[in-house]
Amino acid sequence: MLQLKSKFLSLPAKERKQITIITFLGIFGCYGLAAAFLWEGMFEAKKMADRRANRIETRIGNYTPPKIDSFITPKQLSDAKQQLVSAEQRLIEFSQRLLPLDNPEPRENLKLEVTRLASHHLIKVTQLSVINDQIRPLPSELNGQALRDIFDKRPLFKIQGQGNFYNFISFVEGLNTLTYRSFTPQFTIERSEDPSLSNELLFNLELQM
Amino acid sequence: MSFWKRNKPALPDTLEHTTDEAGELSNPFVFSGNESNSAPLKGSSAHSDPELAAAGLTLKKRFSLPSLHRNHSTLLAFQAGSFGLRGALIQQQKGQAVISAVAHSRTVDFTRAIADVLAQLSATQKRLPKRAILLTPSVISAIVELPVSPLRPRGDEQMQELIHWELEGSITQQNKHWMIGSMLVERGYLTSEQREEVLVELEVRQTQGGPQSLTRFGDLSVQLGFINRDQLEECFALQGKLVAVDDDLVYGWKSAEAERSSLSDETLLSQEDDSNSSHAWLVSGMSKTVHQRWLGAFNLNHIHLEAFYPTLGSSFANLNVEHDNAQQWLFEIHQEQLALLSGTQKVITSFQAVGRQAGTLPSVDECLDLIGILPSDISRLYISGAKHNNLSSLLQPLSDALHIEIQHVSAPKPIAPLPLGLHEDLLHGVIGAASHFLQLLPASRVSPIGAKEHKEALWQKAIKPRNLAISATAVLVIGMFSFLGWMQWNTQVQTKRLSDLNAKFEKESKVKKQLQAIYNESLKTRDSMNNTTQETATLTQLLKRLEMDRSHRAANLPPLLKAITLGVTPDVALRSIEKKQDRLFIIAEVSSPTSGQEYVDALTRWVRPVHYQVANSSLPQSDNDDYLLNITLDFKPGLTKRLLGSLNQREQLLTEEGSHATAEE
Repeated sequence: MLQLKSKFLSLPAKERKQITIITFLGIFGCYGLAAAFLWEGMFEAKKMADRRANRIETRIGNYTPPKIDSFITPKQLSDAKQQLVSAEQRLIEFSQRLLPLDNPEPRENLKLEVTRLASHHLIKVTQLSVINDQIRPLPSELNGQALRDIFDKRPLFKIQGQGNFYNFISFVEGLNTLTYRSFTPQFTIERSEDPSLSNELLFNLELQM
Repeated sequence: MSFWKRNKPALPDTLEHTTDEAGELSNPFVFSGNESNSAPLKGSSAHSDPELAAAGLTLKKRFSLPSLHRNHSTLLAFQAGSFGLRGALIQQQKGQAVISAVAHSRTVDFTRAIADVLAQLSATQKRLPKRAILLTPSVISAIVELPVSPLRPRGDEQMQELIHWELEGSITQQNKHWMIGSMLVERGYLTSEQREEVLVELEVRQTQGGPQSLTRFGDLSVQLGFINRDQLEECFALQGKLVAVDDDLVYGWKSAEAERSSLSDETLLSQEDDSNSSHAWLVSGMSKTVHQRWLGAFNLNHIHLEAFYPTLGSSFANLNVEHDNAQQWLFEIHQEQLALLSGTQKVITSFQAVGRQAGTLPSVDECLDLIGILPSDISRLYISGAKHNNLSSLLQPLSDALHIEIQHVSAPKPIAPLPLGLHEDLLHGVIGAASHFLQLLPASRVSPIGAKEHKEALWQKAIKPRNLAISATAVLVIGMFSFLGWMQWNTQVQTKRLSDLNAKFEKESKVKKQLQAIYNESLKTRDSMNNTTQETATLTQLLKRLEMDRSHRAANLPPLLKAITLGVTPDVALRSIEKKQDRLFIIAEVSSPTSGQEYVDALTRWVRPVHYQVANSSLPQSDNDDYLLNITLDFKPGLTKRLLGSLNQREQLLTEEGSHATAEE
């Protein structure tokens, strides 16, 4: 350091002035670079912070928590589902005694049982037809709409016949003995206008299966 | 009082030995290059020497009008040397400095010597002035060329640094003045002839070799019987106080160029830029240790020492008073030195000093060697020195050799009688220094050294351009780096803020997502609840319908048909029965309306067990005798029960709605 100082002092005044100016310019240049670097870093940090604050204000600042219905509890839902399952279970149990729809064989067997029952009670079946006789596959899960569809548009047996009134009553009573459950939504009984059938009654019977 | 105690010189043994062994031609006190020997000396002296310790004392000045007047017209001028200490009471009379009293002390101790002198002077004047100046050979003067214009004087520090380089060697050379031989002669213990005899004997012994060659000058003088041991020890003690062994010096300076009115063009131009020019300066310097020791000694005697004057050159200052020629030349003869000075009324332009050979008077050759060739326009050379009986034997040959008139300068006779053995010519320099101090002479004739360090006021230091520039630069640098620091700090603050905001954003986003998820879940739960409830209701209704179909609608048909036939009488004949869902429409032929209503009444009773009832009956107009009876049967299982059930269900719904509204509030 002392050598540098003595060397510097030994230089001519003009060179000393030049070296001094160059040194100061160098120092100020370095300072300028450092200041610019720090300024950019500070500006960038401030910009990012302001931007984040704006994002928070925009996205979260006006957020209103939604109202949650506290009366619907999981237990209530569980109880309701349990009731639904219970109802479905009862329907499933009920459906097990109804005519299957995925196979035509039980239906045909049921026709045979009906005609046999009519013959057994001296009822002459003059016509037997079935409405809604489509074959429907059994759903994989018996619940909801699928379960309800089982009871919708079920086969309807339309039977026309002739016979005595009391035989007809016996025939109707005998319908409870069929393999599958059925009921009679409507029927008509009327006297025949045909003189040859003076003691006979005409029956139109619908059996909902 | 401890300072009255005579201290042993604080010189190491090696110093004394070297001094004596080397003889008086060698310089035994050159310690400047050996710091390991000098440092302990300075440290120990500063702590044990009361004079050095007292140098920092500040004496209170008593302010009064009489003393003020007296102080400005009177002065104590001291002259120190190997001989001891002389003190003169100087009075200003008619523009001249006059010695009114003189005292002399041979005491080695500075403080005691001053006290002795003051005691003697007090006998002549009751109230002595409190300010004093001191002439001492310890102060050396020289004319040096410095790159400093007299019109642009530098600060003290810079001037002292420049002078230091010029005077450092001269100060070391000045220590030769304090050799044992010289001191013994000057104190009167040894004559010049005896000194020469001792030197010859010392040279012979050194030539012969052996243990006797190691004998020192002082010891040999004692052996030869010229002096005794006490006298030698006394000189050693004085030598220890006067020899400068440190590099720390104090300085004084005056411009050696003419006044502004007669300055050269080069000097006038140097006011703007003096970097490439050199200018003559009359400078002086002395060891700071010796300076402090003298200052402390005067402080201990409550005397304000104002300035140190050189022994060489002070006579030239006094020369101006009596002789006002344009160019003056003065040849000074001292015990150990010869000096040649020349100058005008205002300044000294030439200053040469050399050592001289031992002896009473210098030889003519010695004088001629120093004087050299004088300018042709001078006609007189002044000689200053103690008047000696053989002085004429020197002046005449010198005048013949130089072909000019030589005049011995005599000091004015003092008012009071001088001490025994003291000639007034020895006080010539004292008068010159006192005249200079009292501003009776131009300031540039002598360059004294201030006794007190001139301390500038703080504001004076502050407003100097250099200090202002340094302060401004410091403020600028501090400002610049403060700005950098602020940016760095702000960056850290913003970064931390960003980090906090990120954490807050993450946290609030998470909370928002959780709330949204809970809300969505609640919506799903509500929908699921509604769906489940609706599905359950649907299934329950379906199941109820199916059970109705299974139970009543399937099981009640045969009993119903039987019940219809049970009420038939001979007056009633059934024509048709039609069932549509839960309703039955019967058409019967009756013989009379009464029989028909009887049938209806019977039918009502018979169908009740199977949960049917006659909803309506009509008897429309018939074309023949028979009547047609239209009867409508309706399936009403538990009609009353259903009505009551519907009422209960309505009340239950109202109760649930009320509780739900209360909970929402």
